Amino acid sequence: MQEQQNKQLPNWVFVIDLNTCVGCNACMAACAQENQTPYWNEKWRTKVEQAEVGKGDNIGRIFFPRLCMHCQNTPCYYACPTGATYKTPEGVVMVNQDLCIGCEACVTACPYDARYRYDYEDVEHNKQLFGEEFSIHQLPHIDKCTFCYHRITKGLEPACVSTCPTDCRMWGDLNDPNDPVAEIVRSGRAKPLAVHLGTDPKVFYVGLDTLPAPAKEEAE
Amino acid sequence: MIALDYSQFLTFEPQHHWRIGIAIYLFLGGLGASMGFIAALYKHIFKKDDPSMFAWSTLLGVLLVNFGGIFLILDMFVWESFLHGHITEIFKVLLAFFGAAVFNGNFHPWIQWGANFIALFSLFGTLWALSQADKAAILNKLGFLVKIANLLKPLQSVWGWGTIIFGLAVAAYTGFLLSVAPAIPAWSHPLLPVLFVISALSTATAWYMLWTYFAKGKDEETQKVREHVGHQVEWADIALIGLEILAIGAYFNYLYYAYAGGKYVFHQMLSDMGFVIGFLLVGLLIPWILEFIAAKKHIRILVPLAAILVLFGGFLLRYYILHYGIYTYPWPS
Repeated sequence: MQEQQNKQLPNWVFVIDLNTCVGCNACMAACAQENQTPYWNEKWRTKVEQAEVGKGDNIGRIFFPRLCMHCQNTPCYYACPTGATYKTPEGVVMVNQDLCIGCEACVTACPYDARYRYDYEDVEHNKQLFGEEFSIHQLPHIDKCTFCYHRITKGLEPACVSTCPTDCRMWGDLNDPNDPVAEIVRSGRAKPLAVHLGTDPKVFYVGLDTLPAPAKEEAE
Repeated sequence: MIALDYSQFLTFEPQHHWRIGIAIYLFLGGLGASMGFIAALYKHIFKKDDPSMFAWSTLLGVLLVNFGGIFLILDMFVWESFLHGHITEIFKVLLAFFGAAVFNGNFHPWIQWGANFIALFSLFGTLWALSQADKAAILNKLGFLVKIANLLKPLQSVWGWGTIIFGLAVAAYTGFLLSVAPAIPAWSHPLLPVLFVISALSTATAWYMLWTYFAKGKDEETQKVREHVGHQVEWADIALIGLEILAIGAYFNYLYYAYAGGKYVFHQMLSDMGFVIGFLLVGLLIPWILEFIAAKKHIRILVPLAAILVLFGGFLLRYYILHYGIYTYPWPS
């Protein structure tokens, strides 16, 4: 019976196409607004890394969006001593603010830099910005991406996906045979990060193996 | 269009979460637990009896382990809550931590195992030490402790074996705690718990070297036992430091060959003069040589000097392992 119920649950996946990210950081802004993350202290649930490639005139810039991988084999979950880190029935990794004691075992355990300390200063600042009543961070805790669980359970996309202007960020359900995003994962074109760690992430990347390098292309 | 191999992009980023406070916690945890472990080992395996030295060392060991634990707890939201005047939050953190350690049945996290091991070591260690209170200096002057000792004595071997088992468990846990960070090559290293146990035993033998050097037995028989123990721990420490050097060599060998991040950390650590001179030379090799000279040439004054350097090295080892907790992230920066 339980198995039947689980089969009906969505198996959400997040796909990032590295070929189309232009580094506009709209995803970071949308996430910060939606989830009240302490951007004033440079703490983000999702971030776009940038790197220069090439030398001299043959120089280019690549962008690498990242967020919590919502690993199915979850190092942070295994490190948490109080049960503050838990997984929803759909496999989304969450933090219970009330149970978090700030030991940071999960932060050190996370191989994807997806967690940060939402400290007292951040809580107070957030309350000033959003108001005591509307602040979703009432206590200090370790914070992380939730795939915008409050949105996806209502049929919406995560804030970063819905705001991405180039559709670099895509959202799908592996249990839906007609989902085009799930099809990208099933086809093997999208790959997870750091497979050797065995974390079994739910975030996949297109273009990990190859990526156009504009500056070099022009030079050639 | 050219192919760009993303595997060439790795980001190395030092961790800033666990710093000197946790290094103190790991050092005192290993030292204190091993002090109890060695005392109970001598009493119940090697059948040597020196109640004053064993009882006081074990009590001090329990104290050190728990004092170190304060640094772990302060590193949580406790200190921050205190600074912001949220006193109830402090109790919430403590309740969640200790409650989790005992009640919630989640036995994955090493912190939780550690909390359990420390609690059990503290319990067994204290009971074992108190079971010798009737014969231990100063403690035997306190009437109520003598009564407690008489009550505990029938089960003294149970308390002793508990001290042995959980003392070793606490020492090993200090290494396992760091091993759950798969992106940190210096921590998720299979040899780290072994290295920390060897180092913890070495620092504890250094403590007994100091005790047997400075504290004389109250009678001839006790002094004889103490000298015998002192002689043995000196040789034991020579063997332990030898093993530690071997373990350090294997640790760096694996770090270098196992993965790209490890190679980076290898170069970082071995180009840090604090680590090379402070730990490898002053905290490891020099005391090893001094102990050899002291044992072979009977130059006793070198014993306390070597012991102090071993203790210094034990702390530096943990400090630098934490300091070089460098993440290897699979993206460019």
